Amino acid sequence: MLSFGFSKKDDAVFIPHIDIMRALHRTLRRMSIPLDYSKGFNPHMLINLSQPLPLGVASADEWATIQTDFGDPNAFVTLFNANCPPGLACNECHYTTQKPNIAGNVTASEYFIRCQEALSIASEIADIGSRPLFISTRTKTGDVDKDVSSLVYTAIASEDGISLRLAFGNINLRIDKLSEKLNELFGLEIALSDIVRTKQMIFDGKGFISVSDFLKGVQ
Amino acid sequence: MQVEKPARYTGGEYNTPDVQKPHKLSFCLCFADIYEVAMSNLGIAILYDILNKDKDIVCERCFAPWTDMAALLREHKLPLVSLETKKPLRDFDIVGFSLQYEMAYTNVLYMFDLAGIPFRAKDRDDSYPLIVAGGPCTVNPEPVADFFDIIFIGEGEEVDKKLCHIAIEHKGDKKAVLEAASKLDGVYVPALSTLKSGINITPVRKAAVKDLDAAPFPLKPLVPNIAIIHDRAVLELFRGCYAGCRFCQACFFYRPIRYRGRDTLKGYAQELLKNTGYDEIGLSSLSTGDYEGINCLISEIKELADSNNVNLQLPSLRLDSFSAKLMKGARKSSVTFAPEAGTQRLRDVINKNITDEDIDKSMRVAFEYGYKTVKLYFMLGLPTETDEDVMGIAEIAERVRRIYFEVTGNRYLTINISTAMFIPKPLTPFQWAEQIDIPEMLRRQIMLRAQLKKYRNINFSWHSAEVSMLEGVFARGDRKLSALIESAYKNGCYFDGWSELFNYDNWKKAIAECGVDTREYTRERKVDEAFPWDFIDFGVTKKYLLKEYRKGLEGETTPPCKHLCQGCGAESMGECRRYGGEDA
Repeated sequence: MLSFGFSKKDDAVFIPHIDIMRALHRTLRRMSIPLDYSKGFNPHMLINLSQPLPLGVASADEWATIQTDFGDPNAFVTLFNANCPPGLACNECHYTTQKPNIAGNVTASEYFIRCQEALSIASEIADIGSRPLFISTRTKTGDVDKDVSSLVYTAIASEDGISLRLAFGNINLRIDKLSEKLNELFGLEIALSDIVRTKQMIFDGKGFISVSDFLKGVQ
Repeated sequence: MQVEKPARYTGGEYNTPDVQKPHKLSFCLCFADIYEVAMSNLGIAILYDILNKDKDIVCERCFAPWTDMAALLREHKLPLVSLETKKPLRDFDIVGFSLQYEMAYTNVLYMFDLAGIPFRAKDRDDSYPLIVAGGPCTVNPEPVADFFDIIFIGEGEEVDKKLCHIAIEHKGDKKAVLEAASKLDGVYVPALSTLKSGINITPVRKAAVKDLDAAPFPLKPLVPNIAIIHDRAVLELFRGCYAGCRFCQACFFYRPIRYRGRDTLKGYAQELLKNTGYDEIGLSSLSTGDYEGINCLISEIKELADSNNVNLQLPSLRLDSFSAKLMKGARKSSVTFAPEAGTQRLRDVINKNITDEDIDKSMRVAFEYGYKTVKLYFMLGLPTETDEDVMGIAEIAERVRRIYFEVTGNRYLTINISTAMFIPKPLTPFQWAEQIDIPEMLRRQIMLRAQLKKYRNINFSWHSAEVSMLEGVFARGDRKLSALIESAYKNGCYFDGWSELFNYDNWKKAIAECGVDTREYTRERKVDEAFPWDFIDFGVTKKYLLKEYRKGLEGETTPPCKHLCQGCGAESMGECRRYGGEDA
């Protein structure tokens, strides 16, 4: 089994999740490596992708896992990058004997928002996780305002922007919704193109570790 | 997001050629519909590939932006730009449109408007790009002749490139380009044509690729980043059609019948799968089942597809070419047939050489192989059609259901019946025929719908009568109609092929403003009447088409020309492929 981390940037940020899945399928096929398929009438490539990223947001840390007999992670990275569409690039690859279930294990995600005004509101930013923060959430019965402050794990302003660690996975705080709220609260003009997901994190019982470190443990 | 599906406008597909290379000419290939439709068009893929392979040419693309994007462009006063380098259309040397459908004519003006290009060729000086058009609609280019500097008639593989080199040679001198280009086969220059009683008499000969097997084919096509209509690798097997259905323009327009060899196609399939990573491959031709050696080809491609975990998408096959052999191993989703008419009499009129027995036999085989859904395509309003013929469609549906019960013992068959309205098209034997008016179209649709409602599990869909009428008007229209297209666009008509945006009231307003009598265009034509497209030498002769028209009215059929030439005249453009022997 191979798990690989890839980035999504430039115009590729406008490729929706389902089409990223399709783009990965096609990239992997072009790589001509042995891949496992489901055994049904219409065989499907066995691939797992991490949770969706909001459309328009860049990422340096997306993950996918494939079932394959191809056992050379370094060659995989080279082959992937020679065959993927512009805007996608494989950064690292790990061979594991067990299924790592990245999507199921990820519990947080880190983002960086480019924002020149961030430092001037540094204390307010640092405070967003410790006071009620209501964001409109769509439910079956309609839109409901929910306090999501507990889903903001860290928020730090710097000269260039805002670094955030948010709940991600089964319990999720959408970065696009939060950035809209920050615009509303602080009169900022954050666009989706200002946001990049920098890291997906897994809680290992002691603290948050990167997916990359988690995979080293799975091996 | 301010626009739906932003990836429609970003470009950046896998296999994008180097559009930054030093070049002498820039070409923008345009399609007057959205990305998903445009990218499914094989013609666009072929031309894009050919032009970009030329060391002197860079070809980019621009497709019609959806209304949300157009509103943003207008709001921010931004011009329409190409997908690859975001260069405004106005800054290209040549802007070329592919005209696939009459109802996209207003979209051409919509794109001109967004690009800041004056609609009429006479209003554009040398500072504007050369604006050209090609595609199947140019069988009768007259309704759009005023909008373009050059219109390509026929296949663009060779002539597009020749024009580019003429434009390189005479860069900056549009007049010289037009004069030099007008000498090429397949090039129509409206500004240099001579009109007699409003009809062009300057002859133009259709361009046709002589050797299809040697013709370029895109083996590294762009792989879209979002799902498109036909999201698969495509193999074009052959051009032209043996069948000779009397309503079908493509059948006659793409003659002579030319093949790609089996070995060539197999090689192409391998390359395409390797270069695209698609998980599906499709075979494309007008009547794929008529390809000589189709069973053998399908077996070979299927073997290749299976070994690559790729699905082979079988095309809609003519009933008479449908065989158990082709169905074997295919996914049993739904089976599609196009009897076109409800009775044998009318099928003889239109020269659809299939019988009720053929339909029954094919259905029986399909059901034995496990198909549970049937799609049946028909046309309403065909010449000589009576109410009995219309009701015959319902009878076919009921008979198909009976066969299903006999074969499976089950009554739950889903039948999807789709009816288009007959539109007399230029370069067909029915180019002289009348198109019935809107009230009559509606009467026949309602009558059939009422009859089909008596049966369970039949889904009936039909083509809009108003759209069909307009298609009919433009299909056989003349140069005067450019004013109607312009007026319709100014009245708010665009994306007319999209039912949610089609606005007949706006069209009615434009028709009234221009004083156009639509019946004048949809009426039956006299056999000695001059047509606006008579100046084009298509190979297929008017004499042959008239003979076929008369035979049609008598209910007399003409056999397919697979084995024996029927003398349509297409061979003056190059040799037609005949069946050499038994299918391998």
